[in-house]
Amino acid sequence: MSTLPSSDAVVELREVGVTYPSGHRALVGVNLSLHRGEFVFLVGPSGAGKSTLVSLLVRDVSPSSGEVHVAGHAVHALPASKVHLLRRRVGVVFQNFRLLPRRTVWENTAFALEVTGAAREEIDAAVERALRVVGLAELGGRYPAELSGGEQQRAAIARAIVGDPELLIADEPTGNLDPLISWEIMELLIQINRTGVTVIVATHDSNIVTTLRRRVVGLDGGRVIRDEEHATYHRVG
Amino acid sequence: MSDRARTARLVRLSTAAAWNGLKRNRLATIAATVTMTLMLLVLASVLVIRAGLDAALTYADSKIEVVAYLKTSVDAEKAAQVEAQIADIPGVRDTTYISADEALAAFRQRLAERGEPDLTGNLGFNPLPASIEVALDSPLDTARVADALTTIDAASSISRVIDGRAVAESLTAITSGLRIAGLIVLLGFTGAVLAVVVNALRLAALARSDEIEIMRLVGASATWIRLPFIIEGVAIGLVGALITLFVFGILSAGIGALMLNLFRVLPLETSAILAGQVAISVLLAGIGLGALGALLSLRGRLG
Repeated sequence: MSTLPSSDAVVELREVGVTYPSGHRALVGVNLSLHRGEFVFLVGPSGAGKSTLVSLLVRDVSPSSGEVHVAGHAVHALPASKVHLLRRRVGVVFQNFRLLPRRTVWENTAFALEVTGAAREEIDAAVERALRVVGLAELGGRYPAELSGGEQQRAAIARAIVGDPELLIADEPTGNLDPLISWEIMELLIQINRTGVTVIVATHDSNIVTTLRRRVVGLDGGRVIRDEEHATYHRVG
Repeated sequence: MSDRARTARLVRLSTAAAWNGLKRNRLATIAATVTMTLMLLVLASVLVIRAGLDAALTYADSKIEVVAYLKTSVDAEKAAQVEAQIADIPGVRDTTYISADEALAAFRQRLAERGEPDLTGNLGFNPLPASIEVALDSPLDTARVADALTTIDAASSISRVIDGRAVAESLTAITSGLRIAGLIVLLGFTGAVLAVVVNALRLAALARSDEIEIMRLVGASATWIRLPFIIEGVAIGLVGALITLFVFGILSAGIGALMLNLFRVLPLETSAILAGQVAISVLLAGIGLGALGALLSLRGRLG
């Protein structure tokens, strides 16, 4: 029987399994609880199940078994017609930024609110706030192609936070960036986390994980093999 | 923001997105519109030709009748009794008594119309018998009514019965065949239109797959994602339909003359109704296929 997650849990997974139609078991018996305001690294080798877990949290894939609760939504039982309501509470940032090339930074950021049917004044105020947070207040009129990689990732983060999400998921956010810019992006994510947003960063970057010493959830073969506070990470292979 | 304001904003932004999409994918838009127009022209042609065939065949059906020729000894009073008995036969819609004099007058008129010499004046008598023309409810009744004429009480007053049995059977077969063929052609063209429009809009959706993906990720509802594409599909269908009707409007005089020439019997007073039916069918087909094509082209992209 489904029970409600604990009151300050933003993410709660109970015995979650994901098996793809091919028969591949991407996640097996995963239990995980993330509380409001936590900053968590999700680590593991390629094929460990990190991407599947990220997809699961925004219901891009559905669990084959178990319960998934995210930002107040019972994801495992969410009808297709309500999935967009979950996604409005979860911001996602990708390695390859996924900005729309024919829209300016301002328009890319506003896009996330326009599709919710928000009022123009509300959109303008939120976009201005988000661009100020990521340090792109002066570059709102530029197109993605006119920005550096770090600036593009900042724009992507602005789009992810413009709707005030409860959860921000960054999937390899520094994968395409040089080390200096990578640290700038991590500092920005920490700054956002300080405002109370729960942040999950899926990464291979052992240097960043070890330096920041946050909670680390390790996956391998679709199972959680470690879950430690203030942990380090040493990439194998 | 109220629901009404939200809906108005959704429609406004979707229309703007659709317009941008149409402009951005200009080549695909033009290709889809041209294809839609060509298909709607074919559709309209099929509708008009089918209407012409239907009208011609219905007219031909109505002309099939049974004629009972009366013996020369039958006077007008007796002829009226025969006519009354024939009228009582089930399947008979109407009867018309043609006296021998009327038959001769009609024969002379036909000769005059053809420009042939009238030699009947030399005979000194009227060689044509009086007759009763029997109109039927359905050409399928021809054989039964013709047979019934030989069994009525007044059968002895009838010298000969001529029926259009063979004509009726072949016309009925042709009518049914053409109606089925017309339906198959229409279904075939509908499928072809759908396939072309779906492919054109799928290309448009493919060109905007990144945008659709981002829309999904940031929490756009399925309606929000679909609406611009539906508006695009409807716009393509509407423009295609208007071009089709414009072309048909220009060609209407020629088409009307061609129809009259081909089918001869197409009643002129139905032309306005036919034009209205074609216009409505073309508009509905264009808009409906455009919208349906948009929905089909987005299948699998909204998960």
